[in-house]
This record gives sequence, structure tokens and C-alpha cells, in this order.
Amino acid sequence: MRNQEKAKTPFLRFSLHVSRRNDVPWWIALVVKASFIVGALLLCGIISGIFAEGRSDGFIMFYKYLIEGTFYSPNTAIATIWNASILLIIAVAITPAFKMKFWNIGAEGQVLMGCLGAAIIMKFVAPNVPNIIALFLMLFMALLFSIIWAAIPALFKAYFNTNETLFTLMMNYIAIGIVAAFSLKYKATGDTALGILNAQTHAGWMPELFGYKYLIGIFVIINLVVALWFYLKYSKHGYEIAVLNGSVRTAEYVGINVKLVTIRTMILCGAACGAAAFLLTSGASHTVSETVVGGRGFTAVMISWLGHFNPLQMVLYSLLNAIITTGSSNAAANLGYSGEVASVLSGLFFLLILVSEFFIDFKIKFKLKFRHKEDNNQPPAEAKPELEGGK
Amino acid sequence: MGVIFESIRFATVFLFGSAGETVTEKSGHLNLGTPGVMCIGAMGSAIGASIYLSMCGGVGGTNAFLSFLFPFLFCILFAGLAGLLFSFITVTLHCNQNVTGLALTTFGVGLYPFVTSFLEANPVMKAGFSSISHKYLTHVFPEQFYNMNDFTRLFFSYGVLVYLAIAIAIAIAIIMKKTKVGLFLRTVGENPSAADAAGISVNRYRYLATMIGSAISGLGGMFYLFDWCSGAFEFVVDAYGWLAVSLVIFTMWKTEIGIAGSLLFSFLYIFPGYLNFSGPDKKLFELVPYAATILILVITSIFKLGKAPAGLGQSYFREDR
Repeated sequence: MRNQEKAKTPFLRFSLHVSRRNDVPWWIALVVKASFIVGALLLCGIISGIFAEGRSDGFIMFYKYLIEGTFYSPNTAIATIWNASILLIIAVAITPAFKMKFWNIGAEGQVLMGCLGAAIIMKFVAPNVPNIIALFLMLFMALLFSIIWAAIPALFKAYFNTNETLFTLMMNYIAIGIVAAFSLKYKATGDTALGILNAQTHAGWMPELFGYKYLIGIFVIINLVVALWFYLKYSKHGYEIAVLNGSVRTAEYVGINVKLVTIRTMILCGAACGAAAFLLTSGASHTVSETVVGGRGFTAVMISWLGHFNPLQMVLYSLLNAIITTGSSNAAANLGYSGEVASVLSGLFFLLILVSEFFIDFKIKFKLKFRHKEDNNQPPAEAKPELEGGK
Repeated sequence: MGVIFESIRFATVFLFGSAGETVTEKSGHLNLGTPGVMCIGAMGSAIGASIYLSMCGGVGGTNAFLSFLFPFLFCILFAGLAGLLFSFITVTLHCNQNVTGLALTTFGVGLYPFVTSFLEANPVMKAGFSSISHKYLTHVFPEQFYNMNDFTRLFFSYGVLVYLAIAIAIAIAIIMKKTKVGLFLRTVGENPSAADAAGISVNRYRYLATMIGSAISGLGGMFYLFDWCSGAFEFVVDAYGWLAVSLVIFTMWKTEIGIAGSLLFSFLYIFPGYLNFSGPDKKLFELVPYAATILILVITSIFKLGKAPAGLGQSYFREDR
């Protein structure tokens, strides 16, 4: 008996105790996050160093091309900030839903439907009316389409408790299909897709500011983000969402109409997605196709969750993601490996940030124990019964 | 006739994907990384095939059995590792499943073309992949046998993965319903706290189910690369990965229905091509599987047929009770 137990005890014992903690000082959280972000950026460089074709400076050059592709000239810098701000507005748009634990992973579809709404006006109405009216109509249609797309899953969730994660996920692909069909239906004969709309007249195009294309969009997005943040933080609606986040029962007991809040919040999400769609269509793409949102809806889900409802963190992640994807595409083109690396690195980046959450939310205790030498020649069990069952 | 034959063949992508995802979801893990996992599986099989090709020095010396085995094993290995990564982050590190899954999809969908881009420059690999796919992978029975009549063509003219997918789907259905392991797995997915109280190791079940499920899903990627595309690695499987996720819901978490469901989905995908549908009509037709999935989702929730594992998507931490 004794021998058997001894045989089971390994020489080196290692135990790990994990417990949740809520009292992390902000500077520890900051250091953990920062070191993971630096680690992720280093990893990108290492991957580049391994795969750079026929050169040994792939590691260093990656960072050079990363910066060159993103902040080299005012134009690239504004384009990078624009990419980041579109991500940011979508991420902030779905945050109210996440805050009430409504898993809206349908931002891709909601934005895409808004783009479709705006593009319909752009195609059929904008050439015949003054630009300011065209822009207003586009905004209206984008909001309408996005709100409808967001409200459908919310209605079913509120009344039948239909699983919203799967519902919104499927709605993405229906939106993609509808947009693809639209783009093929109204393309010019001979083209493969709906090209740039009103390329000559610029009807329905967002005007340029100081000669830069995206500036107005960026400015509007910053204001929207601040407004949404105030809504969440200081309005009665925001408070109701926060109560729902804590517990649905509590919300019911204090007299919050859960159904109403669910639907209202998703309409708000849809409206914000619609605003993003309007800016995207009128300010950047000037067309609609199934790739016009390009997975930003999914990336925004990750950003929103990782940002913990904190707009500053979301700004940081969207900016970093925009830098990594744009910059690594540029590095890939110059260092001779596939541009798909952008998606790989972006995925790795988010996985690492996710892992960093663990080290902030949980306390980890390592225990390393050596088996003592005297264990080997201990007296028989009868002599020392108090040791039984101990180790 | 051709449309039925093609539908049965293409159904394998959905069947592997959804069978694997069903196993994963039964343990309470909603792995939205399935498209990424399928890409990683395809990548694994491509790596396995290229290792085998360089071992036997090109197309000449390949052996039919080994040229199936190498891609197969590497596919399972890499897809299983992707599942391990997912479970490590969600189980051990208690991170959110949806976010982990989406990140895994972003990662995997990029990784596959990134890795295969290195094969592109090598003409030996291109020829080799095609040669490998024409052994067991596209037709397992000899041609004089399956070409006898329409009946044999319909049932015996497929690659080995098609039969494997059906076998796996049936095996999963039996394991889920009839065995203790299946019961425990369902318990873990329905109510992890109760399972834990009953002495079932929630973490072990979730790890294993996710890894095995991912390995099965990954085979869908391998099928797509080596059977459907005959080794042409320019095509990426990710769009069908999302259909596989929706098929899991559509079949209400039952792999035996999944066999019929995958046939239906693949029929809906293949059929427009035979009707000479083109452009917008084809795109609208491709929506039908998603719309049907939503319909099932709505109907099951209205009539409270709730078949989704109750603990789906929720991570389990003993201290949180």
C-alpha cells in the first residue's frame, strides 16, 4: 500500500491555483496589457524575419515597412486613421448590445445592409437631386436598413428568446447574399460587379475637407463615439442597460421592461451601424459589394469585447489592428511573402490580447514541490498513522 | 443524375464540418472558429502532402495508401491543435468563446493561403497534389467496378473521405445516444455545474470534445482541398465553414439528421449551377440555407423545442457558482 502510493508521487510536484480577482491595480493591468501588445508586435516581426524571402533583415525591416505603410505621408496616415475609426465606430455601435449581454455578432450584416440602403439612393436618386439632399436621403436609408436588420433578431430574442448569437450570425450571410445579388443585378454590362457609382458627377459623395478624403468621416465618428459613450455612462437608458448586464432578474424586479430595453438598444446599435455604413459608402467606397465591409464587423466584435466597454481601449485596439493589417500588407509586398499575413497577424494579435485578459482577471499561484529524500525510507505506515492520507 | 452525384460528394464538406462542430457544441463550446479550423485542417493536409512528396522525391514514387495517410494525419494533427488552442484559451484561461472563435477564424483563414503561397512557386508540388488527390481521395473503388451502372456510380464512385464522413456522423450519433461517454458529454454541455458535482471532469470533456470535434471539422478542409478541388490549393474553404456552423443549428445538434441536412445544403449549392442560374439569381439561391437555418432557429424557440445545449457558449469556472 505504502509503496504504491510512493510510486504515484512524482519527484517534482507542480500545482497551479487559479482564482478570480476583481481588485487589480490599474497599473498592473496596464503593464500586463502593454507587455502583451509589445509581445504581439515582436511576434509579428519574428514571423516576418522567418518568412522574408532570401534576406536576413526581415525582422527589422518589418517595422520599417509597418510604419512606412501606415504613417509615412499625410495621406497614408489619414487612411490608417480612417480604417481605425470605421472599426471603432462599429465596435462602439455594438457595445450597448454586449453590455446587456445580447451577443450581436451581426455587425457585418447590419453595416452591409446600411451600405446597400445608401448605395440604392446613390445609384437611383443622387444624380437627380442636389448633393446635400442626396446625402440626407442616403443617411436616412442607411439608418433604416441597418435598424431593420438589427431589430429583427432583437424582436425574436425579446419575444421568443431565440438565440441571438446564431441568429445575428446567419443574418450576416443573408445580407452578404442580398448585396452580392444587388451588385450583380445593377452592374454595367461587361463589368464583374457594381463599380464606383457616379464617378464623374460625385453625386452622393462626401465632400473633401482641406483636400483630404476621409477627414469629415473621421471627425463625425469621433463625435459619435463620444456621444455613445455619454449615452452609456450617464443616461437613464445606459443605466438600464448596466442593470441588465448585472442580472435580468434584478432588472425585472426594479421595473425595467426587459423586452423594451432589448429592442430599443438593438435599434440604437442598428442606427450606429447605419451611420457607419453611410460614412463608409459616401466617404470611402462609393459603391456596394459583398466585401465592402470586409470582415470589419467581426473584427469590431473582438475589439468591443476586449475593450471592456471602455472607448479608450477600443481606440487603442482599432488603431493597432489597422496598423498591423495595413502595415503588414505593405511589409509583405516588400519582403516577398504573401499578403495574407495581415489576417494571420491580426488573428494572432487578438488571441494574445485575449490571453492577456486572463492574467488580469485571475490570480495565479504556482506551487513547486520537491519530494524530500527522506520520503524514500520512511517508517512503515503503522508506526506513524498521522501521515496517512497526507501526501 | 449528375446533380445528385455532385451533391452527395460536396455534402462531405458540410458533414465533416457540422459533425465536428456538433461534438464541440455538445460539450458547451460554441466554436465560431470552425471556418478557421477547417482552413487549418486543409493547411495541415497540404503540409502532410508536401512532406510526403518531398520524402519520396516527387510524383513518381508515391504509394496510394501513404499518400492518403500523410495528409490525413497531418490534417487531424493541425486541426486538433487548433482545437487545443481554442480550449486552452476558453477553458484554462477562461476567455470568451465567441471572441476566441472569431480570432481563430481570422487567424486560420489567413494562415491557409499564407502557407500554401509557399507551395505555389514549386511546380512539383502542384503536380504532386493533383496526383495524390487522384488516388484514394477522389475514387476509392476501382473504376471498372463503379462504372458498371448508375447504381454503382451513385454509391461507390466517391473518394475515401466521403465514406469516412458518413461513418463518423453515424458513430457520433450512436456515441451521443447510447454510451456513457455521450451521456457525460451531453451533461457537460447542458449543465456543467451538475456534471462537476457528479464527478465528471468538465474541463477534460471540453478539451477532448473540442479537439476531436476540430479534428473532424478539419477533415472537411482536407476533403475540399484534395477531393473537391483535386489538390488545387488556390480555393479557400472558409465560406463553407459558416454553412457548417449553421448546419449544426439546422439539424438541431443531431449528426444523423446532419447526413440528410448536409445533402440538402450541398444540393442547394450545386443545383443553381445545373439550372443555368447565373448572377443575382444564383446569389439569392445561395441564401436559402441561411434563411432555412434562421427559420429552424425561430421555430424551435417559439415552440420551445430548445435543443441547443443549455450551457452553450458559457465558460465554466467552479468558483463562479
